Amino acid sequence: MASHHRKLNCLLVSCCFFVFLLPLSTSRPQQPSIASKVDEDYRTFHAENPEWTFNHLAVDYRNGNVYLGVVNRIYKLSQELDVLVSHQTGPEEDNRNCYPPRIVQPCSEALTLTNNVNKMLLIDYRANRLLACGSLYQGICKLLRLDDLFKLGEPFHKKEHYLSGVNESDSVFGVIVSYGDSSPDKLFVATAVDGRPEYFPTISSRKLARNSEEDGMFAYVFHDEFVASMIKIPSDTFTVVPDFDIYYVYGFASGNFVYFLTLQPEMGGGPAAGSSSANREQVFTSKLVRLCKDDTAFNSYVEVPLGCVKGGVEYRLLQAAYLSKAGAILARSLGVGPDDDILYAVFSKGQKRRPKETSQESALCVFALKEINERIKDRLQSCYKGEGTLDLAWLKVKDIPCSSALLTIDDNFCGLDMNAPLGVSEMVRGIPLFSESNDKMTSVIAYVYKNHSLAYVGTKSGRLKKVGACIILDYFSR
Amino acid sequence: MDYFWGMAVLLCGLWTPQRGADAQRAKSNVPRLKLSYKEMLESNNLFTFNGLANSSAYHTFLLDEEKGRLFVGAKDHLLSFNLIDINMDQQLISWPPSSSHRDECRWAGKDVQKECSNFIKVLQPFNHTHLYACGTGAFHPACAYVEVGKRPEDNIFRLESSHFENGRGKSPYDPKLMTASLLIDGELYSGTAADFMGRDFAVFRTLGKHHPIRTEQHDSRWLNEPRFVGVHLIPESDNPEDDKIYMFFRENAIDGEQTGKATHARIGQLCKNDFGGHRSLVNKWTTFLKARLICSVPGLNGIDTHFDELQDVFLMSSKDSKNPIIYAVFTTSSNIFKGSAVCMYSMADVRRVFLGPYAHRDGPNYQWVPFLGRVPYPRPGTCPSKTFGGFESTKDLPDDVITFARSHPAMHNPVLPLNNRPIIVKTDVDYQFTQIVVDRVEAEDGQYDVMFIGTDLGTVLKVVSIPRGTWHDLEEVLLEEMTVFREPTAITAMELSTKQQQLYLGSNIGISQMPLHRCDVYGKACAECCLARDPYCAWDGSQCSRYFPTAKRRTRRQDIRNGDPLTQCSDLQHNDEENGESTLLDKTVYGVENSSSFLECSPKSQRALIYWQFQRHGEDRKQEIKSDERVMGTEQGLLIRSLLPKDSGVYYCHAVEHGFIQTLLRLTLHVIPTDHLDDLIQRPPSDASHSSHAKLWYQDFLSLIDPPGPNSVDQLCEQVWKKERKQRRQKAHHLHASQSHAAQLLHTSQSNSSKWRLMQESKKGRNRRTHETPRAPRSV
Repeated sequence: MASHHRKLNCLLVSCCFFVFLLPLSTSRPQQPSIASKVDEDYRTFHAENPEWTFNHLAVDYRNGNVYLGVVNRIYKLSQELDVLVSHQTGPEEDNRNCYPPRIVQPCSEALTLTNNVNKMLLIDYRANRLLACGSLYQGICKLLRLDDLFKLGEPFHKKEHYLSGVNESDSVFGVIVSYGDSSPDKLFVATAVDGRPEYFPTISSRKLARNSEEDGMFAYVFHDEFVASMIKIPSDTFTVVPDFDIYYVYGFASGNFVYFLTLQPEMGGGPAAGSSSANREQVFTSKLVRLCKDDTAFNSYVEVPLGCVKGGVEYRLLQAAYLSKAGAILARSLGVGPDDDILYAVFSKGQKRRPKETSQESALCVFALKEINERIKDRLQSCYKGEGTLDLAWLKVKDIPCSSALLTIDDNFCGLDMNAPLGVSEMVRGIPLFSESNDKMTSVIAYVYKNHSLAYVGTKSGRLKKVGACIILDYFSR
Repeated sequence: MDYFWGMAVLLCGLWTPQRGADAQRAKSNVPRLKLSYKEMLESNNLFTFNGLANSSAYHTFLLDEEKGRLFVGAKDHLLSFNLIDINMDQQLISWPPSSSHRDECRWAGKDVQKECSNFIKVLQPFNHTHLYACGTGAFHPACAYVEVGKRPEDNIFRLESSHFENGRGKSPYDPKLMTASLLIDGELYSGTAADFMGRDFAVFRTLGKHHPIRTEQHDSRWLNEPRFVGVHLIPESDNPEDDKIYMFFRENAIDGEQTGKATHARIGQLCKNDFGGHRSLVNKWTTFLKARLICSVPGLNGIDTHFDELQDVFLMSSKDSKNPIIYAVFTTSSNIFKGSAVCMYSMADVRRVFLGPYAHRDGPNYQWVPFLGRVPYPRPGTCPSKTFGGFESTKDLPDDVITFARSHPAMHNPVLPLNNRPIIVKTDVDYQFTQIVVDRVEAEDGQYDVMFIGTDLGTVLKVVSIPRGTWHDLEEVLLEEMTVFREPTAITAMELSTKQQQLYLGSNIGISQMPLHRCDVYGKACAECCLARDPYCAWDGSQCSRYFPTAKRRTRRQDIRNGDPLTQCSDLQHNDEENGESTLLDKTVYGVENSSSFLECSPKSQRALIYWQFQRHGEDRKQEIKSDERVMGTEQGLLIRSLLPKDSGVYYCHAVEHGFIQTLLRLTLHVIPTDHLDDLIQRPPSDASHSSHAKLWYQDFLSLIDPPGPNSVDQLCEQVWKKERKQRRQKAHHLHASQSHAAQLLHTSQSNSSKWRLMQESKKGRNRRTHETPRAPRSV
């Protein structure tokens, strides 16, 4: 009865409308170094130096203040995008091959004045501070007071303080997880490792000390000689695919879990003899990674491929994602509750990342988190019946069969020291909302307004699209 | 069917008697003496512990010479045995896993009997009063201290059950996985798998006051699914700071090292004072290096046959503790080509390889090459010490050293065996080597290393390697092959007590104990003792007995190097022959014309060759018997098909070993012509010209040609043997000390299947000659 009703609803709700805006255009040269000008519809902000590209943006939901992570600067802007404070992070003398960084130990590599790319910008509400991690010195972080960007701490003398050696801003993601007042917060850090898996775990959970100067800041939540709160890509994987890496596009916490959305190469067939990795075309898969918030041994690690098919075209390269609530209308069509989490994701066409080719084809899709969790549970259950292998691309060199065990696996199962980490081989398909073939979609944000779920999509050319309340539910592609 | 089976038995036993050097060489690879399980038991050369009803897997041994105990770790149990006799005052500790761990193990889909028990994998001395023991604990490794008391008379064997420790990184989860461990100065070194799934292999150091340290995780350049065989401490210099830990293991070849999957044997090294790096390789070994151990036989076209599956390692320590000789047992990786080998390595060669070029490759599609660039200082693998420069600790090592060490754990050159080849190779047998222990024995003409090699069929080979001309040309002499378990089972543990002169053996089904030597079995003549070439034994003037280098030398005869009885025992030959012809076994056999006759004669020494001579009645000349289609020499004796009257005469059975000839048997054969047969049957057997033996034989013969059922033939054989035994007992004093069992059989029914069965019976009977009391005509 209910499902029949739902179907009907889904078919009815198949309208779409778009609002086109032109924000944040960087093509127009701006003379004043710090400028905020009031247009009729929107305000803009430009950094002092046009080469200082913007990397990350965080908005304090309590007051609307905007924090901006830019190359060499952290800005605090007002709601009106007026600069309130700026904090300098670079450039500094560095060489990315200096490990440990030269601020700890003299380095024999040639030092050059190096820009500090912002790789992670998180608001730590409980401690009222901003966590800003850069590319200098193997990815050390600053803890800045939210009010005035005063530097509360900058831990750098331990190897746990070097979070990531990559220079790109869009391959690292962090999620702060709070456990209530009694226990300290944790920081889940996920990063590409750039061929150096021995230095940087790809995902780890760290202690986020309340005191910004505390020695144990960013220490692994648990670490002994066997078990640690981290996932390391074995160096053997890099022996087979030297340019293997996992790129983290988005991350969030929901329920008992922490999720990351990744883009990772497939391991197809191993290294072809004689072919250099430069001209070999990598095939990528978008995968969601799930961990239990309380899992210190990382036995709960599960990953599942995500993608989207619309009109017979596969969209499988994740560009951006955003977690939102379903809202009553969308909830009905997805078969979930209005307050259930849903995931908006922008994919571009195919599975090959060709930076030079300008394929603009992209799609906005939506996933019910509940369904993803359900699929993960199915796979956990089948693996614990001894079906299939653990099947993880980054652990392919040590793939082993699932072993059966007499266990009841419920929604909150957090893994054992067997059958972990586990990969799901079958892709979970999102519901395509909207596709665009001229102006590639690159970012997404969403909210619920009067039972309607609304999404804003940013495009490559600097346009913003508003996608509202609508799903075109293609029944036959599900 | 019987016919074909018999034919096969017969053909297998066939060989052409030759006295040439070729034949001698062909026999050089067989054990001189083969002792069955029953022979071992009955001659008091074997004590056995046949296992507990609810236990198995007696694989983990710890020998304590001072307390005179052998400690054994098994399934759910720890045992303590008296070294003098393992059946005296045994002590037992029951240590099963907790029921909750057993349940968890079962829920995890593991086999309750085979996996969800506490298989003891680590048993090491902790201090003067305690041992440290770890077990799999039903896929939940746990360790505990075992109190054993200070002195042997304390008689304590107790598990400190109030204090269990986590056994992770010490014992594997899976009882099938191999672990090697060494507890020294309160620190436990162990090579094992440290996770439930058996993926995380590492070399650990745990216990002690330092932070645990291990090999890098999930890096196949360091360890690639290793199977650990042994861990040893070998000092590098007189400065203990330079002490190194060496571990022996086999593992999958590194990617790109070999096409396809292959196993390589390895020796790995670590510094005892390695505490890991400061920022990189934190709590990981910074001095780990490994090299391949080669044990191969050169082949035609330069393609060598490799023995890569390292099974066991024994370190033979000399006065110079820095330079023990490494004995290693290998098998082949092939399923169809079963072979085993023993190779010896010197520490000088090992150190040279670790000081040689590192293995390097630029990327996955590159070849492994020797690293020719600048190696950072201090050279990775060097222990921080005052001997080799100013580094106090591995934590002070420069980062370039750590980075280099991380990416170059393997050496480019392999360690080659002494003389570049194995000292023992066995390829033509149905067993493979599993274990080795070595004893250094003082003999009259020098020191010899006697190897005791365990096999997967529950046998022990005792082998001595003797220099032929120089030390580079070694002759392997297989002294004895002994069955030490009641059923074929792999020997998985071996310990040798030099104090007790005993060997202790472990398997899945139990524990056995045997002396290192049993000189009296070689025989009662000087020549036999000498031919045995057993460094433990010498002819003391009256018998073959244990040789002690300190005792009086005048009367002792021993020649390990040449085994030449002519030089050693020629002056004693007179004594041996004092009894003259009477020492020779004399037989008379009757055969019917056109029937077949089998003249049994086989030497005790498996190495001796038999040759036959024939002397026609009334003639002086002896002629050697050559095999043809009618007369066949077999290992058991001489088979004459279709007797002719001219076959009547005297047959001499001679054993030749190492150029020394012994006559074992003189046999007179009478051929009864067919036309006399009727007369014989009708005539009552009262002819005075025949001996009582012959009369008896006629009765047997008559019953044989009466229509016989197959059973009656067997009964007949039994009767023949019994009677013969009686005869022998009567003339026991005549028996030549060296002679082996000789018997005769006669068959009249040609092409009768029962004939073949008789052949089988005779073969079986010979094999079992000592374990069935009614048929125990042994002279020794």
